[in-house]
Amino acid sequence: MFERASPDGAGGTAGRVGVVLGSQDATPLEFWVGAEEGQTVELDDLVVCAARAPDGETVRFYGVVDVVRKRYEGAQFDGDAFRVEAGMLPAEVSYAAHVHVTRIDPERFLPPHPGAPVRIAAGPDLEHALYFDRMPARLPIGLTRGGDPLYANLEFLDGTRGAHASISGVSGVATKTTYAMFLLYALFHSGVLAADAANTRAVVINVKGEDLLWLDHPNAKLSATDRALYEAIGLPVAPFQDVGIYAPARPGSAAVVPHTGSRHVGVRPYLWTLREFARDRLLPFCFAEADDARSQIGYAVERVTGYLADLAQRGSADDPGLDGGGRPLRTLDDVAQHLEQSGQLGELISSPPTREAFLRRLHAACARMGHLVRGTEAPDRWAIRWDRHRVTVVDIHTLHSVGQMFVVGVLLKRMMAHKEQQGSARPLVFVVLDELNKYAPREGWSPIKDVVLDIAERGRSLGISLFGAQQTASEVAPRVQANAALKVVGRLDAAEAEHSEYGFLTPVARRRAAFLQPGAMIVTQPEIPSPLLVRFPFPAWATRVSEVPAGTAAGRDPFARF
Amino acid sequence: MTGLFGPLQVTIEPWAAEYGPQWRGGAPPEEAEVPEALDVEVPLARWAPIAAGAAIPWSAVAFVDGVRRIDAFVAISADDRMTRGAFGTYAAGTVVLRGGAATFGPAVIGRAAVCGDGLSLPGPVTVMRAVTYEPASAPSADPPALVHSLETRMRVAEERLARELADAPGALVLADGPLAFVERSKGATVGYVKSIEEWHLPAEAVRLVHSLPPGARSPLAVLQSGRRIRYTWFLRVAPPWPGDAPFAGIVRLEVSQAVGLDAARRLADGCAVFLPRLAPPRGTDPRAPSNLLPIGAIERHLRHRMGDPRLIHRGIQTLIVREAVHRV
Repeated sequence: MFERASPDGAGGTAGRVGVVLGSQDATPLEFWVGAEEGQTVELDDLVVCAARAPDGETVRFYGVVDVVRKRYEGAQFDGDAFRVEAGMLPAEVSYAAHVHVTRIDPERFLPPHPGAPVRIAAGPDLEHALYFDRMPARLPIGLTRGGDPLYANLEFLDGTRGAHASISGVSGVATKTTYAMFLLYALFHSGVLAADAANTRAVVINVKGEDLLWLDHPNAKLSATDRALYEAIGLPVAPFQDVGIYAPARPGSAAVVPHTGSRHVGVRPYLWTLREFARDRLLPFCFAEADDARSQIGYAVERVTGYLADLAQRGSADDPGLDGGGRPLRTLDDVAQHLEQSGQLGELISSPPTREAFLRRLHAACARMGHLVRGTEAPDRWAIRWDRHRVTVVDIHTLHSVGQMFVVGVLLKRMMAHKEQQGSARPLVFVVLDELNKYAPREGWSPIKDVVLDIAERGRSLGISLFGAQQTASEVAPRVQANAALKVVGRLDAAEAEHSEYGFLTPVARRRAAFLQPGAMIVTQPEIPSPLLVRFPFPAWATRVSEVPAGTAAGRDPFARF
Repeated sequence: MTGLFGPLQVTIEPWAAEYGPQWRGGAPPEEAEVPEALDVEVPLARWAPIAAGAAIPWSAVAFVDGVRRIDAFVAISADDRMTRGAFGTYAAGTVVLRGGAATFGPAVIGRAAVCGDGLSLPGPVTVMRAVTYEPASAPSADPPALVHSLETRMRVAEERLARELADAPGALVLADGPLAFVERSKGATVGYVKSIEEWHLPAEAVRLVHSLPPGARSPLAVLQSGRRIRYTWFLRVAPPWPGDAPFAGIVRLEVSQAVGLDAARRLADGCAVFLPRLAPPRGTDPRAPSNLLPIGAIERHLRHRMGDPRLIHRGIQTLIVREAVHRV
C-alpha cells in the first residue's frame, strides 16, 4: 500500500502539470501522467512526483517524458472525431504523457500512486533527476530543449570509471565531429579538468575538408542565440587555445611544405624519416587493407619488416636514410627497387605469386604515401609532436586511404607506446577520430584495428580516451563500441537504428533519432538509465575560412604581402 | 413464389436485442394514452408528411438524459418477514450544442438503498469512498417497484437539470423519454421518445407515419394523460434500410400544450431539420439510428460516472459480510 503524498510532499504545487494516471499501470520504472487543463507536457520534459509510503517516508520518482499523446476520451469510433468536430458529439480530450523513470529517491521500488501530483523538475529536482548531484566532476554536454544545462560524469571519460565516447549518425546531418569537438571544448573550457587541465592533451584527426584547421580562430559568424547557449551552459565563447596544426608534407615537392588548401600559416608539415620507418617497423601500417592480413601477404610483410629493421641498425643513426649495401636509400621507391634488384626479396619470400602480390602492394603504397616517408630530412624535425600543444590537429584529408591508415595507425601506436612507457594514466590524452568504421571495422584484422582495439580496452588505464565517430556503429568492431562509456547518436538512418548496437536507445529514442536535426544529439551515459536529448550550440571556433574574422593573420593569403 | 417466410412480411428490429424491441405496440399498458385530438394541425383525412423547413430557431440545444442501474439486490428479514431491497445508482446528465461545439453540461449522480414493503434503512450507507446510498422505500418488494423508485429519483434529477437549462433564453431542451413535467419555463422542453407505442393512432395515421421520408414529420396531435396535455408528432430521423421494420428511424416527440399551437409547430419543424443530423450511423450505437449522438454520449458518460458496477457490487458484498460477521 502506498499513499498519495500531500502536495507539500512533492515540493508545493508550483510547476504542477498533472497527476499520475490510474487507467494505465503506474510502475516504479514507468508511469503515465494526465496533463491538467491548460498545462503543457512535452517530450523530454523532466518531471517529478512524490508518494508517501505507509511508514511516512516520502519517495520521489524522477523521470523523463518520452511519449505524449492526446485522444478523445470515450470515443469509440474513428468517425467520432468528425462528429465531435462538427459539434454533434461531446468528447473530452485526454492529454497524457509517458514517463520513463530515471531515478527513485530513496531507492524504494514501489509504484507511484495514481492521482499523485506531478511537477516539472527544475533546479535541484532536475539535478536529482539526472544524477548531476552525484557527479563529483561534471562535464557540460549541452542543454535540454528547455535550456537547462546537461552534464556527463567526467569519471566515465577520464578513465577513473570508464573512458571513450562513441558518436554515430548519418554524415552531413548528424554533426558528429562538431559534437565531438564541442565535448572537447567543454573539457578544456568548463574547468572540469581542474588541476589536470594544464597537462591534458587532445589529438584531433581531421578526416574531411579543412573544417578542423581553424580551431584556433573565433567564429565570426556565431549568432547571438548561440552565444546565449554557451552562456547558459556556462562556457566561454572562444576558440580553442594552444593549438598545433599538422598537415602532411606536400607530395612532389622536395621542400617540406604543408599540403593544405585554405590555410598555410601556422601549419606544420609532417613526415617520417626512412630510418624511423624501418627501425620502428612501420611497414605493416602501409598494408592495412582488410584482405592483406588474411592472405600470405601477412607473412611476407613480416619478413620484409624484419629485414628493414636490420637495415636500420646499419649506418649512422643520424642518417635519415638507409644504406642498401653501399647504395643510399632515400625513398620508399628506393627501398622497393633495392629489394627487387638485390635479390633480397627472393630470399625473404620464396613463393613467386606471393612475392608478386607483395610487390604490387608495395608499389601502390609508394605511389600513394611515399611522400610521407623520406630519407632526406633530419630526424624528428617533421615529426608530429602531439604533446607540445594542448590540442593537436593532424590533417589527413588530402591523403589517399592507404596514407590515412598509415598516419592514424602509426600515430596511435606511438601514443600507446609512449603512455605505456610513462606507466601512468596522467596526463590524459583525448583522441578524436572520425570514420572509426574504417580503422576498426567489424570484420577482418589489420594492424590499425589492433591498435584501436588496444586503446578501447586498455586506453582507460593508460589515460587515453577515444572520441570515435562513425556513420554506422553496426560496422565498427563491437569491442570498441562496448568500451565506450558515453554513447551518442545524431540523426540515424531508420534501418541502422534497428541494429543491436543501439540497444542503449529506448524504442522511442530510436524513432526520434530518425529525425534529429543538426545541433541535437541523443546521449546515453552509464549513470542515467534513459537516453537524453541534448542540444548544443554552433562551434565558437571557425570551421572554415569564411568564418575567420577579417584581418586575422592566418586568415589572409600568405602571399598577399608579396 | 412464397419465399422463405411464406406470405409473412418479416422485417428486422433495428435495435440490439438486449434493448428489447423498439415497437412496443400490441398490448396497451393499463394507463393507455389515447390521443385526444388528431386534427389540431390538419384534419386526419388530410394527414400527409410535412417536409422540414431550413431554419433552426435556437442558439443552443441541450439534451438531457438519465440512466439507472441496480448495483445489488438484497434480501431483508424483519420481524420474521422476508422482503427485498436494492442498492441502485441513477444519474442524469446533459450535453449542450452551441456555436458548433458539443460539450458535456452538468451531471448528477445519486444512489439509493431502496427497501420494499415500505421499509427503510435507518440512515445513509457508505460502501466506499464516493459511494454512499441514501435510504429509500418502495411500497412493494417486486423488482419493478424497486426499479421504479430509483427511476423516479432519476426523473426528478433529469427534470431539475432540464428546468435549469430551459431557463436560458433561446435554448431548446430535448429530454430523453416522455415529458414528465409540463410546467412553463422560458424556453421549450421537448420530449424525445424512441420506442414506438402505436396505440396513439388509428391505422391510416400509422400508415402515414411508416411512410414518412427522412426529415419529414407527421402533423401534430394532442395527447393527454391525467393533467399532462401535450402536442405530439412523429419524425423520421434516418432512412430505413432494406429489410428494416417500417418504424426504424421513426421517433415521437412531444411538447407541453402550454407552449401554444404555433410554438409547437415551429418546434416540430425545427426538430425535423435539426435532429436527423444527429442520428448515429448504424453500428455505432446499439439503438441506432434513433438514439441521437448526444444522448448516446450522455448515457455512456453517465454509466462511466456511476462507477464500475463490479467494483461497487463487491463493495456492497464486503460491507454486508463484514456487518454479518460483526453481529455474530
